[in-house]
Amino acid sequence: MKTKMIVSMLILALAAALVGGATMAIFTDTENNNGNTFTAGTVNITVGGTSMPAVAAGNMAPGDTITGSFTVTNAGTLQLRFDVSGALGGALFSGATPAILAGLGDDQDVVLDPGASAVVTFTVHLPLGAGNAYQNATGTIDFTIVAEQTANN
Amino acid sequence: MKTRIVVAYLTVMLVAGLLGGTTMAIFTDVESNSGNIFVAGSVDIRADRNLGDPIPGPMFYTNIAEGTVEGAGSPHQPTLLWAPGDTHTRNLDVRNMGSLEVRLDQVSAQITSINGSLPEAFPGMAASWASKMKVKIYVAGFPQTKILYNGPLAVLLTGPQACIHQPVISPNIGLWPPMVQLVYEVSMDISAGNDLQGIVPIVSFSVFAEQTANNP
Repeated sequence: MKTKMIVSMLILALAAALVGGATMAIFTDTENNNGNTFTAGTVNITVGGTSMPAVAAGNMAPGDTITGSFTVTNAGTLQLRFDVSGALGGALFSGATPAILAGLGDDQDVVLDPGASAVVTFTVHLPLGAGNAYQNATGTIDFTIVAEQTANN
Repeated sequence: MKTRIVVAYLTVMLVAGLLGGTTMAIFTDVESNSGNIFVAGSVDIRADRNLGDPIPGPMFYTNIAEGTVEGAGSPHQPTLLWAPGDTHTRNLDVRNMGSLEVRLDQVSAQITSINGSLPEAFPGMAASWASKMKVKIYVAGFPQTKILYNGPLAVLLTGPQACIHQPVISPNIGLWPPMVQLVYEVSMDISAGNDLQGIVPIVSFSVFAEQTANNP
């Protein structure tokens, strides 16, 4: 008998909870702010306009200094700054009196607005003291241009 | 035998009662109170961007064209292009157009497109971008004490987030609907990588309101 009473009370309590839950509605509203556009800018450079005197093709003599250049263009949408470094290779740039790359500077940080260009000029000098070991020697320069955004940087 | 006598007695009494009932006429009267009106209130909010140009347009737009709304004046607060480390703040006026006091209880966001396509087309990019965008929403003038939300956009995209601070707005009973001005401060984390260069997401921000009455 006692068990039946407890079961009955539980059923009543459950029914009351269900009825109570069904009536727990409140008025609400939602408002949206649509169409917010977040366009990320771009950092993108192109290199062109490389210019090297013909002497670089194979007629460098000790004491010569040749000047070359190339153009860096900001093809992105953000203002950027760039640095140039050159990796030297080949017999011309090694040994006791190697050819010397100069003119790039250590910390160029050249700033370019979108669409703007800058001409990078460099020189290669073969010291007068270069001996016969450098006859017909060749060398290569691989330039690396690293660009980064100027904003918040 | 005794039981039968009791049953018979009760039966007789019941019949007598029924017969007696048919003869029990009494004087009565009915009065009514009619015309009682019950008007349910309303919860109705409206949200307008406001940086001196309170119109129902997007808060964040890269250029004038994206922020222009037909029939309204020209917007004048484009964000321009986003770069890692950038932060922009925009205001959203939330007005109570309804007749009940409300509180702003939840906020959320949704990416509606990326690079002109549905975000499902770029799931990885969408997730990466959202994880690098930080959103802080607070009541204007109270950037430290009345903050509704402060965290990654990625969390806002998962669904409505309960507001830390829940501003209450009075009911609209006059010409000027009461309002609270929210500030949306959005930042692109400085650690955002090159994979996000040039990305163009479009986002909807949502504000949820509920009645304060009987709603602890």
